[in-house]
Amino acid sequence: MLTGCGIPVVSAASVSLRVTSYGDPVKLKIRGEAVAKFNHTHPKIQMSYEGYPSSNYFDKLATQFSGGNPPSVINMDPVHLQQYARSKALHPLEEYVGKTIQTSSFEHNLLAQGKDRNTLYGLPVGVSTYGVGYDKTLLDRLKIHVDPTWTYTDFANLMVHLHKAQGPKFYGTEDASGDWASFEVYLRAHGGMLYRDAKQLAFSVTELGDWWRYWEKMRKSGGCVPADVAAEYTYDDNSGGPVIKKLAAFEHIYTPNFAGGYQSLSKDTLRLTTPPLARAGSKHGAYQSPSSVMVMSQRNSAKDKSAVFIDWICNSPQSGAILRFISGPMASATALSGTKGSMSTAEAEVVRYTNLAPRNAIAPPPLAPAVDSQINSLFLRTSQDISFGHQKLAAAVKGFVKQANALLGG
Amino acid sequence: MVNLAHRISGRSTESRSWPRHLFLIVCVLVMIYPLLWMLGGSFKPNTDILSQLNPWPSSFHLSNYIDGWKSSTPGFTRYFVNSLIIAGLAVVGNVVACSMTAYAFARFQFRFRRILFGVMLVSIMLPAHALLIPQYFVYFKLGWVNTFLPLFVPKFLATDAFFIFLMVQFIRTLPRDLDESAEIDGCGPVRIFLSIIFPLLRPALITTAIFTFIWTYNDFLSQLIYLSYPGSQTVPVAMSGLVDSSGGAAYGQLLAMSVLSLVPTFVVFLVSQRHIVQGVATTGLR
Repeated sequence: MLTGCGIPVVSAASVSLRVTSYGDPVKLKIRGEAVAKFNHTHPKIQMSYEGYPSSNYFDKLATQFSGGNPPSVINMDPVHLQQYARSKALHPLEEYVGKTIQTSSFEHNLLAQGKDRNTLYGLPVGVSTYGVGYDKTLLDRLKIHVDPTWTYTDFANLMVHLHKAQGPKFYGTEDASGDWASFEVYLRAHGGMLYRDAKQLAFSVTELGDWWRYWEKMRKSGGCVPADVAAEYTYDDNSGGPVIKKLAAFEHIYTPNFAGGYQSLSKDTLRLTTPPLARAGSKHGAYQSPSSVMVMSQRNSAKDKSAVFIDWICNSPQSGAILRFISGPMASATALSGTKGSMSTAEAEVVRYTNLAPRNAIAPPPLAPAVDSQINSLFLRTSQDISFGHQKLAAAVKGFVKQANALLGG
Repeated sequence: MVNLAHRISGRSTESRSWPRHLFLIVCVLVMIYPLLWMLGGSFKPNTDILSQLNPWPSSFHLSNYIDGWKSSTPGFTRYFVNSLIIAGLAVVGNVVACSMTAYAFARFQFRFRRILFGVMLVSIMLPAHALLIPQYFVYFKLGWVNTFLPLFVPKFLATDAFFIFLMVQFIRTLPRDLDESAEIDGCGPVRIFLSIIFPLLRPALITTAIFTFIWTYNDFLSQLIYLSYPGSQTVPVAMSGLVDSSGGAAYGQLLAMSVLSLVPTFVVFLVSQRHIVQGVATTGLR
């Protein structure tokens, strides 16, 4: 009856190769077009495409894996790679490297982030870079020039200046005190890192105390938004952040969220720049990472064919010509060569920043441990306890380090 | 004289009640503001939605409705059809199966009846997430994944314990004399159910139908989990994709589609408003 109504009631079990991805409708549609192009050019390998919104994508994926029905090829973010790789849900790509899969066109640091314990599981699709986004229209009006050689002290001074120049309801920047990624960028600029061997925290209580003290001073001086405003938005949520709401001029932005997200929601021109330095002449802490990787599930009846698809989607000019900048610039130089043609101003800004950021950067860290997301949440909760005055800073620092190490099993 | 006194007294009551009315109007405006914001936002360009608190758009654009409707392939026509088919079949399943089960629990004496009723009540307290993976496994083995079957077939097996409980309570209020009279006239249990109990259950059936429709129509997780191909997507799943944490943010389209997605629920509510009140009053549902 349902088939008669034109409603699909075909079982997924009848399809041998499935590829799954996540994103907004525009991205999903473009990725679907890329899969269709692959099917057209590879008549002997037919991939069935499944695209889902990002919210609950990993819930669905976890259910599919647990229920014994994982897709053959999965578009996954690097954060989840280690968890799936270590539970032996993914098939290593090593045996295809140099044969079906060519890795020479990938930058070494990007490729390394698709590995767990030196084994390649994921081939990067696009490049994501942490940047400091700002409202260029506003700063031009105030005749303020952003100098990418700024230090954290310069940054704080500029934010206070903005608050004074724009009035009591406007602040210089977001409150990044609870953002684990911003803390990592700060640590790396100061020569540190988050984890040692993915088993214990690699920073001291002094370093963490300095970070939270820095933002405490910012809140008191009006350099960053107050605690109640900060609690209203989620980091990296392009809709609720203070720049879009015109409460602040600066906010950290990842490049894949720039063109389709932040810039599309603002009438003002936004720009990206590198994060502050520890001191003049040192290096900044931002690094490039894959916006997503293509992995192969262990329960896959046609691994060789899946490898052909993974190489094509990540590494071919035809794929690059279709995917363009939907997840940041393509990670493979070969695929990037396919992204010709006109670019929007926002896309051009992403390309400019992606080329600029690595010039004064430090090598990326190894893959984060599986408990990273739990530590991330703990970090946010503790920072909010400090900003709302529920905990003294010194006690909060000690408490966080103790709980985070317990999560790491140390 | 009496009329005059009555009129004066009426006027003084009116003049005393205006602060209360004013307060209530303000409360209504506060409550309705999010809805007005959504409606107004659906006509605004993307850049104005989050930067303005005023729900009234400076100029009206229908592009959010047009672009949102066609934002993905195959589009919202199919998503609405899919959602309505699933919700419709779920309503039929719950109304038929839950009423039959409730009749059995309320009228028949059978072994383990109390225990089974207790188990059924306990199942109301089980969170859906706890059952998700075992259910997925079973449906996958049955070859039902990526079909509508997992979303409505269980309803035909009386799995919504809440509605069974609701109807059991209702049937218990019906006098047994009716059943006994029917028995004297030669009716068996099936005939009693079809001719006596089912027609009298009407308020409870309508309540069940309305709530099943709304809950199934708004269900996001199971539809996301079981339906994979773009053509099988439903309204809640398609809408969640319009604003995505991975970068895209079509807020105008999301608000426009949210307004349209309210229409079926609104129509169902308008048509059955009187019965909802009656059902709530007679079944003790709160």
